[in-house]
Amino acid sequence: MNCRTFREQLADLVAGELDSPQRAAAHEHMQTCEQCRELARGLEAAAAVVEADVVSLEEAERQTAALTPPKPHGVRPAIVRRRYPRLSTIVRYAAVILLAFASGYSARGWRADEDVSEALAVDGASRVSGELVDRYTKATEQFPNSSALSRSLLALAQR
Amino acid sequence: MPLDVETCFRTQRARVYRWAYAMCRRHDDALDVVQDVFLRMLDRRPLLANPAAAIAWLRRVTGRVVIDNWRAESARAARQASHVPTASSADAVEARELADLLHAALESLSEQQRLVLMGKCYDQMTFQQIADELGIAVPTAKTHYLRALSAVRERVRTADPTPDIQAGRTS
Ligand SMILES: [Zn+2]
Repeated sequence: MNCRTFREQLADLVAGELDSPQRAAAHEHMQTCEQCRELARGLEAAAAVVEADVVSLEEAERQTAALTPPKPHGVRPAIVRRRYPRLSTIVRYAAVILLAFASGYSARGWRADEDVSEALAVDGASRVSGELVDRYTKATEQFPNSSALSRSLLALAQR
Repeated sequence: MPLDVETCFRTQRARVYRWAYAMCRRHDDALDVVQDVFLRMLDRRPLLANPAAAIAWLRRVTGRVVIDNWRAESARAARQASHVPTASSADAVEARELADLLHAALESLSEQQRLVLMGKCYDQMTFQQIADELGIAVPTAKTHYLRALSAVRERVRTADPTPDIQAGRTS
Protein backbone atom coordinates (compact mmCIF):
# COMPACT_ATOMS: atom_id res chain seq x y z
CA MET A 1 0.00 0.00 0.00
CA ASN A 2 1.25 3.47 -0.86
CA CYS A 3 0.41 6.80 0.81
CA ARG A 4 -2.25 7.64 -1.78
CA THR A 5 -4.18 4.39 -1.28
CA PHE A 6 -3.80 4.76 2.48
CA ARG A 7 -5.36 8.22 2.44
CA GLU A 8 -8.19 7.06 0.25
CA GLN A 9 -9.03 4.55 2.95
CA LEU A 10 -8.31 6.86 5.89
CA ALA A 11 -11.93 7.74 6.69
CA ASP A 12 -12.92 4.07 6.69
CA LEU A 13 -9.88 3.19 8.79
CA VAL A 14 -10.61 5.81 11.48
CA ALA A 15 -14.33 5.00 11.43
CA GLY A 16 -13.64 1.27 11.70
CA GLU A 17 -15.31 0.45 8.41
CA LEU A 18 -12.38 -1.43 6.83
CA ASP A 19 -12.55 -5.20 6.60
CA SER A 20 -9.70 -7.06 8.29
CA PRO A 21 -7.40 -7.61 5.25
CA GLN A 22 -7.68 -3.91 4.36
CA ARG A 23 -7.07 -2.93 7.97
CA ALA A 24 -4.01 -5.15 8.17
CA ALA A 25 -2.60 -3.58 5.00
CA ALA A 26 -3.23 -0.08 6.36
CA HIS A 27 -1.50 -0.90 9.65
CA GLU A 28 1.42 -2.31 7.76
CA HIS A 29 1.76 0.98 5.86
CA MET A 30 1.55 2.94 9.11
CA GLN A 31 4.52 1.01 10.48
CA THR A 32 6.71 2.13 7.63
CA CYS A 33 5.31 5.66 7.00
CA GLU A 34 5.53 8.10 9.89
CA GLN A 35 3.49 10.81 8.17
CA CYS A 36 0.49 8.55 7.54
CA ARG A 37 0.83 7.08 11.04
CA GLU A 38 0.73 10.52 12.68
CA LEU A 39 -2.21 11.54 10.55
CA ALA A 40 -4.24 8.45 11.41
CA ARG A 41 -3.37 8.60 15.13
CA GLY A 42 -4.32 12.31 15.28
CA LEU A 43 -7.72 11.68 13.70
CA GLU A 44 -8.35 8.67 15.95
CA ALA A 45 -7.56 10.84 18.97
CA ALA A 46 -9.99 13.49 17.68
CA ALA A 47 -12.70 10.84 17.23
CA ALA A 48 -12.06 9.71 20.82
CA VAL A 49 -12.57 13.30 22.03
CA VAL A 50 -15.86 13.57 20.14
CA GLU A 51 -17.09 10.22 21.44
CA ALA A 52 -15.82 10.72 25.00
CA ASP A 53 -19.20 11.56 26.58
CA VAL A 54 -21.62 9.52 24.50
CA VAL A 55 -24.02 7.88 26.95
CA SER A 56 -26.17 4.82 26.26
CA LEU A 57 -29.76 5.27 25.16
CA GLU A 58 -30.84 3.58 28.42
CA GLU A 59 -28.91 6.14 30.45
CA ALA A 60 -30.38 8.96 28.35
CA GLU A 61 -33.83 7.47 28.97
CA ARG A 62 -33.23 7.63 32.72
CA GLN A 63 -31.94 11.21 32.55
CA THR A 64 -34.98 12.43 30.61
CA ALA A 65 -37.68 10.36 32.35
CA ALA A 66 -38.95 13.32 34.39
CA LEU A 67 -39.24 15.70 31.43
CA THR A 68 -42.72 16.77 30.37
CA PRO A 69 -43.67 17.48 26.75
CA PRO A 70 -43.33 21.12 25.69
CA LYS A 71 -46.45 23.26 25.78
CA PRO A 72 -47.89 24.86 22.61
CA HIS A 73 -46.97 28.42 21.57
CA GLY A 74 -43.55 28.07 23.14
CA VAL A 75 -44.91 28.67 26.64
CA ARG A 76 -42.65 27.13 29.22
CA PRO A 77 -44.08 26.42 32.63
CA ALA A 78 -43.20 29.51 34.63
CA ILE A 79 -44.80 31.82 37.16
CA VAL A 80 -45.98 34.85 35.26
CA ARG A 81 -47.05 37.75 37.41
CA ARG A 82 -49.90 39.73 35.92
CA ARG A 83 -49.03 43.41 35.67
CA TYR A 84 -52.56 44.62 35.07
CA PRO A 85 -55.93 43.27 36.21
CA ARG A 86 -57.87 41.12 33.77
CA LEU A 87 -59.96 43.00 31.21
CA SER A 88 -63.10 41.20 32.44
CA THR A 89 -62.41 42.55 35.95
CA ILE A 90 -62.09 46.07 34.61
CA VAL A 91 -65.32 45.68 32.62
CA ARG A 92 -67.12 44.30 35.68
CA TYR A 93 -66.07 47.22 37.87
CA ALA A 94 -66.90 49.67 35.08
CA ALA A 95 -70.40 48.17 34.88
CA VAL A 96 -70.84 48.38 38.66
CA ILE A 97 -69.76 52.03 38.72
CA LEU A 98 -71.96 52.82 35.76
CA LEU A 99 -75.00 51.11 37.27
CA ALA A 100 -74.46 52.56 40.74
CA PHE A 101 -73.96 56.04 39.36
CA ALA A 102 -76.93 55.81 36.99
CA SER A 103 -79.29 54.37 39.61
CA GLY A 104 -78.21 57.02 42.14
CA TYR A 105 -78.88 59.66 39.54
CA SER A 106 -82.32 58.28 38.61
CA ALA A 107 -83.46 57.92 42.23
CA ARG A 108 -82.03 60.99 43.96
CA GLY A 109 -80.42 63.19 41.35
CA TRP A 110 -76.60 63.63 41.38
CA ARG A 111 -76.06 62.34 44.94
CA ALA A 112 -74.52 59.10 43.80
CA ASP A 113 -71.18 59.16 45.67
CA GLU A 114 -72.43 57.10 48.60
CA ASP A 115 -74.05 54.53 46.36
CA VAL A 116 -70.91 54.17 44.29
CA SER A 117 -68.72 53.56 47.30
CA GLU A 118 -71.30 51.17 48.73
CA ALA A 119 -71.57 49.29 45.46
CA LEU A 120 -67.82 48.98 45.21
CA ALA A 121 -67.50 47.86 48.81
CA VAL A 122 -69.64 44.80 48.14
CA ASP A 123 -69.18 42.28 45.39
CA GLY A 124 -70.85 43.08 42.12
CA ALA A 125 -74.07 44.86 41.38
CA SER A 126 -76.31 42.81 43.71
CA ARG A 127 -76.74 45.63 46.23
CA VAL A 128 -77.30 48.35 43.67
CA SER A 129 -80.95 49.26 43.70
CA GLY A 130 -83.26 50.84 41.14
CA GLU A 131 -85.02 49.93 37.97
CA LEU A 132 -81.74 49.89 36.03
CA VAL A 133 -80.80 46.76 37.88
CA ASP A 134 -83.99 45.07 36.70
CA ARG A 135 -83.24 46.14 33.14
CA TYR A 136 -79.71 44.92 33.56
CA THR A 137 -81.02 41.56 34.78
CA LYS A 138 -83.40 41.38 31.83
CA ALA A 139 -80.60 42.22 29.43
CA THR A 140 -78.57 39.43 30.99
CA GLU A 141 -81.42 36.96 30.40
CA GLN A 142 -81.91 38.20 26.85
CA PHE A 143 -78.23 38.25 25.93
CA PRO A 144 -76.52 35.75 28.23
CA ASN A 145 -73.29 35.86 26.22
CA SER A 146 -72.95 39.64 26.19
CA SER A 147 -70.42 41.45 28.34
CA ALA A 148 -71.33 43.21 31.57
CA LEU A 149 -70.53 46.56 29.96
CA SER A 150 -72.82 46.01 26.97
CA ARG A 151 -75.64 44.87 29.27
CA SER A 152 -75.19 48.03 31.34
CA LEU A 153 -75.26 50.17 28.21
CA LEU A 154 -78.39 48.33 27.04
CA ALA A 155 -80.02 48.89 30.42
CA LEU A 156 -79.19 52.62 30.24
CA ALA A 157 -80.43 52.91 26.67
CA GLN A 158 -83.82 51.43 27.68
CA ARG A 159 -84.51 54.28 30.13
CA MET B 1 -50.58 11.80 8.85
CA PRO B 2 -50.16 14.82 11.14
CA LEU B 3 -47.13 14.81 13.36
CA ASP B 4 -47.89 13.98 16.97
CA VAL B 5 -45.24 16.00 18.79
CA GLU B 6 -46.09 14.53 22.18
CA THR B 7 -45.60 10.96 20.95
CA CYS B 8 -42.43 11.99 19.17
CA PHE B 9 -41.24 13.63 22.40
CA ARG B 10 -41.86 10.46 24.41
CA THR B 11 -40.13 8.16 21.94
CA GLN B 12 -37.23 10.40 20.90
CA ARG B 13 -36.37 12.65 23.87
CA ALA B 14 -33.66 10.23 25.09
CA ARG B 15 -32.06 10.21 21.65
CA VAL B 16 -32.03 14.01 21.53
CA TYR B 17 -30.62 14.16 25.07
CA ARG B 18 -27.86 11.74 24.08
CA TRP B 19 -26.76 13.94 21.17
CA ALA B 20 -27.05 17.11 23.22
CA TYR B 21 -25.14 15.69 26.17
CA ALA B 22 -22.35 14.38 23.91
CA MET B 23 -21.92 17.91 22.57
CA CYS B 24 -22.63 20.05 25.67
CA ARG B 25 -21.33 17.67 28.35
CA ARG B 26 -23.57 19.32 30.91
CA HIS B 27 -26.75 17.60 32.05
CA ASP B 28 -28.77 20.79 32.53
CA ASP B 29 -27.70 22.22 29.18
CA ALA B 30 -28.67 18.95 27.48
CA LEU B 31 -32.12 19.03 29.11
CA ASP B 32 -32.59 22.62 27.88
CA VAL B 33 -31.67 21.50 24.39
CA VAL B 34 -34.27 18.70 24.52
CA GLN B 35 -36.96 21.22 25.46
CA ASP B 36 -35.87 23.69 22.78
CA VAL B 37 -35.74 21.04 20.05
CA PHE B 38 -39.31 19.85 20.71
CA LEU B 39 -40.52 23.43 21.01
CA ARG B 40 -39.19 24.01 17.51
CA MET B 41 -40.99 20.87 16.38
CA LEU B 42 -44.18 22.18 17.95
CA ASP B 43 -43.72 25.57 16.29
CA ARG B 44 -42.79 24.33 12.84
CA ARG B 45 -44.71 21.05 12.56
CA PRO B 46 -42.30 19.61 9.97
CA LEU B 47 -43.66 17.12 7.44
CA LEU B 48 -41.98 13.87 8.43
CA ALA B 49 -43.00 10.79 6.46
CA ASN B 50 -41.53 8.13 8.77
CA PRO B 51 -39.52 7.63 11.98
CA ALA B 52 -36.23 7.78 10.06
CA ALA B 53 -37.17 11.19 8.69
CA ALA B 54 -38.11 12.31 12.19
CA ILE B 55 -34.74 11.19 13.55
CA ALA B 56 -32.90 12.95 10.73
CA TRP B 57 -34.88 16.15 11.41
CA LEU B 58 -34.20 15.90 15.14
CA ARG B 59 -30.48 15.33 14.62
CA ARG B 60 -30.21 18.41 12.42
CA VAL B 61 -32.25 20.62 14.74
CA THR B 62 -30.40 19.37 17.83
CA GLY B 63 -27.11 20.43 16.25
CA ARG B 64 -28.55 23.84 15.43
CA VAL B 65 -30.04 24.36 18.88
CA VAL B 66 -26.78 23.39 20.58
CA ILE B 67 -24.83 25.87 18.46
CA ASP B 68 -27.47 28.60 18.94
CA ASN B 69 -27.41 28.10 22.71
CA TRP B 70 -23.61 28.28 22.81
CA ARG B 71 -23.66 31.51 20.84
CA ALA B 72 -26.30 33.00 23.12
CA GLU B 73 -24.28 31.86 26.15
CA SER B 74 -21.01 33.35 24.93
CA ALA B 75 -22.80 36.61 24.12
CA ARG B 76 -24.15 36.62 27.68
CA ALA B 77 -20.73 35.81 29.13
CA ALA B 78 -19.15 38.60 27.08
CA ARG B 79 -21.65 41.07 28.51
CA GLN B 80 -20.81 39.98 32.06
CA ALA B 81 -17.26 41.19 32.64
CA SER B 82 -17.00 39.28 35.91
CA HIS B 83 -17.73 35.93 34.26
CA VAL B 84 -15.13 33.50 35.61
CA PRO B 85 -15.51 29.75 35.12
CA THR B 86 -15.39 27.88 38.39
CA ALA B 87 -14.37 24.28 38.85
CA SER B 88 -13.79 22.14 41.87
CA SER B 89 -10.82 20.10 40.70
CA ALA B 90 -8.11 19.95 38.09
CA ASP B 91 -9.99 17.06 36.46
CA ALA B 92 -13.12 19.17 36.20
CA VAL B 93 -11.12 22.03 34.70
CA GLU B 94 -9.57 19.66 32.20
CA ALA B 95 -12.95 18.17 31.28
CA ARG B 96 -14.37 21.66 30.84
CA GLU B 97 -11.41 22.75 28.74
CA LEU B 98 -11.87 19.72 26.52
CA ALA B 99 -15.59 20.43 26.22
CA ASP B 100 -14.81 24.03 25.26
CA LEU B 101 -12.36 22.85 22.62
CA LEU B 102 -15.04 20.56 21.25
CA HIS B 103 -17.54 23.47 21.27
CA ALA B 104 -15.15 25.62 19.27
CA ALA B 105 -14.48 22.82 16.80
CA LEU B 106 -18.14 21.90 16.32
CA GLU B 107 -19.07 25.55 15.93
CA SER B 108 -16.48 25.95 13.16
CA LEU B 109 -17.96 23.10 11.08
CA SER B 110 -20.48 23.39 8.29
CA GLU B 111 -23.85 21.84 9.09
CA GLN B 112 -23.19 18.85 6.81
CA GLN B 113 -19.79 18.22 8.40
CA ARG B 114 -21.41 18.31 11.82
CA LEU B 115 -24.20 15.98 10.76
CA VAL B 116 -21.74 13.46 9.34
CA LEU B 117 -19.75 13.60 12.57
CA MET B 118 -22.88 13.13 14.68
CA GLY B 119 -24.09 10.23 12.54
CA LYS B 120 -20.71 8.54 12.71
CA CYS B 121 -19.58 9.21 16.28
CA TYR B 122 -22.94 9.25 18.09
CA ASP B 123 -25.07 6.87 16.05
CA GLN B 124 -22.46 4.55 14.49
CA MET B 125 -24.04 4.97 11.07
CA THR B 126 -22.13 3.76 8.01
CA PHE B 127 -20.97 6.33 5.43
CA GLN B 128 -23.54 4.87 3.06
CA GLN B 129 -26.40 5.46 5.57
CA ILE B 130 -25.19 9.00 6.26
CA ALA B 131 -24.86 9.76 2.54
CA ASP B 132 -28.39 8.44 1.88
CA GLU B 133 -29.86 10.49 4.71
CA LEU B 134 -28.16 13.71 3.65
CA GLY B 135 -28.57 13.11 -0.08
CA ILE B 136 -24.84 13.34 -0.75
CA ALA B 137 -22.26 10.99 -2.30
CA VAL B 138 -20.39 8.53 -0.07
CA PRO B 139 -16.95 10.07 -0.83
CA THR B 140 -18.39 13.48 0.14
CA ALA B 141 -19.56 12.05 3.45
CA LYS B 142 -16.06 10.66 4.05
CA THR B 143 -14.48 14.02 3.23
CA HIS B 144 -16.84 15.79 5.65
CA TYR B 145 -15.93 13.26 8.35
CA LEU B 146 -12.18 13.77 7.90
CA ARG B 147 -12.55 17.58 7.79
CA ALA B 148 -14.64 17.53 10.97
CA LEU B 149 -12.13 15.33 12.80
CA SER B 150 -9.27 17.50 11.56
CA ALA B 151 -10.98 20.57 13.02
CA VAL B 152 -11.24 18.84 16.42
CA ARG B 153 -7.64 17.62 16.21
CA GLU B 154 -6.39 21.10 15.38
CA ARG B 155 -8.17 22.63 18.39
CA VAL B 156 -6.85 20.01 20.77
CA ARG B 157 -3.32 20.18 19.38
CA THR B 158 -3.01 23.97 19.42
CA ALA B 159 -4.65 24.40 22.83
CA ASP B 160 -2.33 25.76 25.51
CA PRO B 161 -2.70 23.93 28.78
CA THR B 162 -3.71 26.44 31.46
CA PRO B 163 -1.54 26.97 34.58
CA ASP B 164 -4.40 25.49 36.66
CA ILE B 165 -4.30 22.22 34.78
CA GLN B 166 -0.52 22.02 34.98
CA ALA B 167 -0.63 22.73 38.70
CA GLY B 168 -3.26 20.04 39.12
CA ARG B 169 -1.15 17.54 37.24
CA THR B 170 2.00 18.16 39.26
CA SER B 171 0.33 18.11 42.66
ZN1 LIG C 1 2.19 7.05 3.92
